[in-house]
Amino acid sequence: MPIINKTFAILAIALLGSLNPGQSEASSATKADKVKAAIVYKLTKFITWPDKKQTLSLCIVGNDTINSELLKINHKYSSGRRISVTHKAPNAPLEKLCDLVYIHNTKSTAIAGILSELENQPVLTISDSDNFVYQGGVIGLFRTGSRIQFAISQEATKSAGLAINPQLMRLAKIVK
Amino acid sequence: MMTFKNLPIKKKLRYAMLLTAYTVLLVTLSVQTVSEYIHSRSLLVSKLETLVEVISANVQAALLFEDSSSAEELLNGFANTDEIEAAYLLNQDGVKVAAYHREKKQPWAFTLEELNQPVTLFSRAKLHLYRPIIQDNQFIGSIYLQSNLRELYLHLSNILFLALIAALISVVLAAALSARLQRLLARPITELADTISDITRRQRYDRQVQKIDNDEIGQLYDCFNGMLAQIKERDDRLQKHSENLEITVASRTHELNVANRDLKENLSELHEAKEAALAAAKAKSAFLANMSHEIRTPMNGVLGMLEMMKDTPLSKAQGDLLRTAYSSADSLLAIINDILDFSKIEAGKMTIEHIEISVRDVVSDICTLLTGTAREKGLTLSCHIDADLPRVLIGDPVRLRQVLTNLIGNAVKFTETGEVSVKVGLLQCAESSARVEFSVEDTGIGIPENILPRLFDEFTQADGSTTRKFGGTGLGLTISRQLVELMGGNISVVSVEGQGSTFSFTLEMTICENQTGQQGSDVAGYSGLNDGTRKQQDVTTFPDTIRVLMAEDNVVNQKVAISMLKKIGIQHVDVARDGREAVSMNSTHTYDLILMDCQMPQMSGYEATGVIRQQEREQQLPPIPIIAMTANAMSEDREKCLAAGMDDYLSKPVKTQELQKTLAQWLIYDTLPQTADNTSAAGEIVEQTTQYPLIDQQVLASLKELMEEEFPALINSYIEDAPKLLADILSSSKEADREVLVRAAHTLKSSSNNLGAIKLAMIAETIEKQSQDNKLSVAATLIPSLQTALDETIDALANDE
Repeated sequence: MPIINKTFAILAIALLGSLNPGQSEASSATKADKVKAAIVYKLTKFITWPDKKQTLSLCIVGNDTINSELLKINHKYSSGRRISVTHKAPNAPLEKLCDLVYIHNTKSTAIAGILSELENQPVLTISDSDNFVYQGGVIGLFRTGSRIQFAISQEATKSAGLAINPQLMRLAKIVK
Repeated sequence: MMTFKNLPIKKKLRYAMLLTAYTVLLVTLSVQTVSEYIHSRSLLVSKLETLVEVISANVQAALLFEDSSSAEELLNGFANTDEIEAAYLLNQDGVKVAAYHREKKQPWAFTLEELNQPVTLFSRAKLHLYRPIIQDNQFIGSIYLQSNLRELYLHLSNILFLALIAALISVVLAAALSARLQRLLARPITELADTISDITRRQRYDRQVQKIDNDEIGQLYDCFNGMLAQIKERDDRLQKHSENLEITVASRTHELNVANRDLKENLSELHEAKEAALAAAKAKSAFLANMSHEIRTPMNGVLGMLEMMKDTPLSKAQGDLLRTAYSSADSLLAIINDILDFSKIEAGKMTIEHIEISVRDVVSDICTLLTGTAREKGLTLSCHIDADLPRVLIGDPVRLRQVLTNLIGNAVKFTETGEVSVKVGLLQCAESSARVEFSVEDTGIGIPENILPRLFDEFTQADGSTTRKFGGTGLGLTISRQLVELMGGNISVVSVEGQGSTFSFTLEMTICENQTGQQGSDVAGYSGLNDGTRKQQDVTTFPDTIRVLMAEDNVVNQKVAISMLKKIGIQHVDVARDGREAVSMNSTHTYDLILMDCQMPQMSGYEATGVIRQQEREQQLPPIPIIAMTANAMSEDREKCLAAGMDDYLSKPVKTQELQKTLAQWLIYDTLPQTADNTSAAGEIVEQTTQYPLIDQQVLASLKELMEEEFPALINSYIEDAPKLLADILSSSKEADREVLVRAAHTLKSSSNNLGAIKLAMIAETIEKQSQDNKLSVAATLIPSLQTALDETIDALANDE
């Protein structure tokens, strides 16, 4: 039953994103944006990158109101690692520049292209687009009612060589 | 109630051990229990903390992503732990995220001040644990656990139970052990005590106690054994000593007995010696008395005869010889008197009289007496008597005179040139007593300082040569000292050799109440010049009519006495050779006075006096004056004479002056010059009486009226009686019978007064008064005028009738 709930949550998040496409273009960030940015930051604390100790580079792909929120994470620390936030074009060599890639407001085809580029690379991919984890993304955000939830793809995690804290795993919707 | 102090040592030891054991046990168990409690609590806390840590580690993601269901799932894991009552999970704002309750909802037990501070709190039955959860150095939330203490208390009660069991076992063990140990320690002591009490009870000190251990008690045993041994040794020694002592006592007793016997013998010897000494003393006393008598009798003769001889016509050479002989005899008498006085004082037989005396007269007399001697040596003798000196004092005139005579005599004797000054001063005068100082100062040879302390001792003179030069027995000062001491005074001397000496003594004398008793001379100082004239005045001659009986067995004494009596004018002297003769002569003849020697053959003077007095009583005769003359110089003689009924006392050798003085006192006579005086006195009285009328007619008239018919008979009887009364007066006056004279004069006076014969009554009254005053001679001179008045009165009465 919890799984169903989490599914609903993901759906909710997806719906939320699709319901306000116009608004997402706006410069002022919504409440959902703030929650999502916070979730992104908190997620980093439960994930371990191979051979990464000092810094974490968060790359934002796509333009929306959430960008300003995400930029607030810049220079924050997560489990001793300094986070730097940059905006990247979808065609940029993300696999070399980024440890984390947050993808939003991007066409599904473009997402697939980015994901294929980053396949087997130690890069954590997060997106609020629907079915992201099924496309090969590691963590997907979705809305259930008023709550924003997340789903984790075990396969993607594994291929990316990331270690995710089991506590996080317990909270997330797990996709094989 | 038994206190700890009086408990037996067994119990003391046991109690001590038990008390110690129990105290240790109690403390140990208490400490253990407390530490166990603290330990259990900390164990509980750390256990809960571990739980909290595990939960905190696992709940971080749930907290971060505020996943309540996941958090509650985690908290539900506490269901397996019984003690957790409740658990809460809070987010970083303190808002409850998840909660767990075992049975019912548990409230918070406390308020938090700061969310990120841990709290550990024990309430009565709960443990509250609050811990913040930190992740990546960030406070992300907190957890609160509430645990019950059931397990803790269960554990503690288990431990307590075990401890109690252990304590119980310890108590029992300690009691058992202490009983055994106590026996081990106390046994030697109690045994020793038993032994000692046994020894004390049975008095057996030859026992020993058996030592058990080699500790202090063992030493005590050794010491006790040593002590017993010593006691035994002493016992033995004591035994030996007492045996020795018995022997010693026996021998000493024997010695004492012997000594006692000796002492008794000595005592009886001493007793005999004492008896002999007493007998010797008695013999000496008797010898002295006899000697006194025997020496005085011949001395009496010598002095008397020499005195007689002075009055016979002598050549100048004979006169010189006579004077020398007289003074030698006088000196000899003085020496004998000294020796007698000395022996009397030594024998304690000297008694001091206490009679009324005039110190002034005594001193004046001595000065007068010795002035002559002083003038012969060319010395001045001056006497100064304090004007305030009371006239009459109580003392012994004879002894005072003796002392002063001796001191002044010495002063004159040892002074070659200068003067001798006698002073009598009143030192102190109280109401009833006076302190009188007598001092004799001379300018003589003085006394060397080394002699002064011994001066008043017997037989002391300044040195032997002095004796040769000045003579004397050396007893004078000794006697003076002893006499002064007997009179209650003290004699002292101040002297500088070659310049003179001052002898002085002080007497405490009672002042006589009656100060008019003696007529003293008011002349303060006498020079020798008026001495002779005074003496001349004293010599009175007695009328021829005086008849004296003298009882004296010694012919020499008879002669001396007769010569003396003749010298003072008594011509009629009858001599009785013993007492018996004196009695018979007194009864056949009428004498005016008897001189009685005390010691006579046949009948002594005492006996004769007794017989004479008895005769007088039987025949109702007036008592005749009897004066004792005796050579007995001892002090009791005077009393003896007076007791025998004699009136006065003369000591032999009798001197003319003393004889004359004494006789004058006792004889009733009319001396010629005195008669003239008396006549004039009587004449005055007669003159006075002439002023009165012969008969007061008024009295006679009233009497006549009163008596009426009987009046003539009354006048007649008066005319008859009055001449008889006159005759009585005449005869009694001649016989010097004062009583009869007074009575007769009185009767005549009153009967004459009744009739108003005033002149006659006045003369009779005067005679009565004079007789009462003992002025018989004055009374006698009035008799002729009485006779004349009577004749006139009778005539007048007869005419009247």
